Amino acid sequence: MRLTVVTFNYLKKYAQREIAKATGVSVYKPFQGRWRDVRKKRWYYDENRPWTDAAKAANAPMKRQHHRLLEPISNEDWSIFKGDRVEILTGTDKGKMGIVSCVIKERNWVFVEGLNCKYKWVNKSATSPGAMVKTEKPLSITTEVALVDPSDGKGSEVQWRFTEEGDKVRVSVRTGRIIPMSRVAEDETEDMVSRSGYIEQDCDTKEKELQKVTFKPILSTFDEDILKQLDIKDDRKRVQKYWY
Amino acid sequence: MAGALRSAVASISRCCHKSVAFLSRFNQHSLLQNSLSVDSRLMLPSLLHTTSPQHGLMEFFDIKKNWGEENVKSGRPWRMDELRIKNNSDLHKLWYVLLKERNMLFTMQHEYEKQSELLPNPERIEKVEESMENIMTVIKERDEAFNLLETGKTGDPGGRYVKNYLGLRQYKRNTEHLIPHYMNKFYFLLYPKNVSKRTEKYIALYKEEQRVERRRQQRSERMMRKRLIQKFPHLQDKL
Repeated sequence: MRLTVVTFNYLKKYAQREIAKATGVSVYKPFQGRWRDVRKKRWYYDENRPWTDAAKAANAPMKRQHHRLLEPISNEDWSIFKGDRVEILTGTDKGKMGIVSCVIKERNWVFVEGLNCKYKWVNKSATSPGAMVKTEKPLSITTEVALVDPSDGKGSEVQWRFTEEGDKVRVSVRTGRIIPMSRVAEDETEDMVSRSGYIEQDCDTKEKELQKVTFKPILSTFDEDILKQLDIKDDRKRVQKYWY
Repeated sequence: MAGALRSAVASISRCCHKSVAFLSRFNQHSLLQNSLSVDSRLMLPSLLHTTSPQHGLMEFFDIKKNWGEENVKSGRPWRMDELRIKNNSDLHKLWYVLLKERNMLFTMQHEYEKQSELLPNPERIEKVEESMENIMTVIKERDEAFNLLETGKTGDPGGRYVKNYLGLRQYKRNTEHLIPHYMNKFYFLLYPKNVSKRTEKYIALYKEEQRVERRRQQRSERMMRKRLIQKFPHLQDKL
């Protein structure tokens, strides 16, 4: 079962901070004696994550991007994740099935491994034609891609439903079969790090120590408890303070 | 009195500074040990160094191995549920550990900028900040629970709506003062008893400006919804 509730927000804050840094500059106006902010109001998301250089280059202050209409899909309704098998519904690779390699929620995009590609020749010169590079093109999850139903091997519409135990699962509307989460998606944490690929670092806390319960409820505020433990006695007479 | 102060300072230093004696005394505490974790890798600098226990000013910098590295690995922030099971003393110590880590990260960022380079893995700053915010939330919860039990009030000073010197209504948080409000000259300059009538004209204009802005936003939302339904007809009932 996948946790739909986000347990920490640091990645979002980090992305916002990087976007804020990259959306513009403050230019000092001599003689006028003031700062002029040259800032972009709208950030356009693309296949690169917002903290990467490529994304920042695409959002350079003077670069214009045309407005894109996006179908709003809430986090609870999002049904396609990394590692899922999907069927492509449009384009040159119509009818083919592939595994999702990347998901970009800000654009409702999904990249399928090896399918729906564009070909480009690089390092062309007068003597040689260069090399051909194949890169995947994005697919819209609302119209161009469908999750494959394992029972019949065809794409189908998917809904989030609850089992008898209370787990939230994806169910194929056509057959009613539960589509489980892929191992890659379960292995990945919220900040796009692999759980199984964890390597112990010097600075990390042991799981045993993490789960150790040292809390005992006491009738005291935090400050009083710490003062007591550090043997600090504060007998000073408090002056009357006014709160307004 | 001086003796008492000195002992207080010594006891605080025992809590914060790295020393072998301190470590051996508090060895049972989870926070101070080198750790392994499969599922939970946490943002916690080690207090157990084999080279030398006291680094002095060099604690403001990262370990030499990480200088010039492109990627520095770090764990995830502490979650609220993980902090709630720790006692006050542990939270107090963890706060200072995180504070030192934060200082180290900002020092390194400044140093990297001086060398015209980028700090590797700058999201570490956000991780530390989130852990610290979570600690504050947990401590606040505990204090509020105690206050509610003993006094029936949360202990939050609260706030109220006041009319400032411009005649505009604003929400003001109650702050601590040494003198009562009727003796506070500065307070009366900010929040006078009677605001002059000349401001009424400007308040009306300001409110009109706000109304226009609000209507502009509502209109843009309406137009956006219309465009979405035009492009995605199945959203007609949802939006």
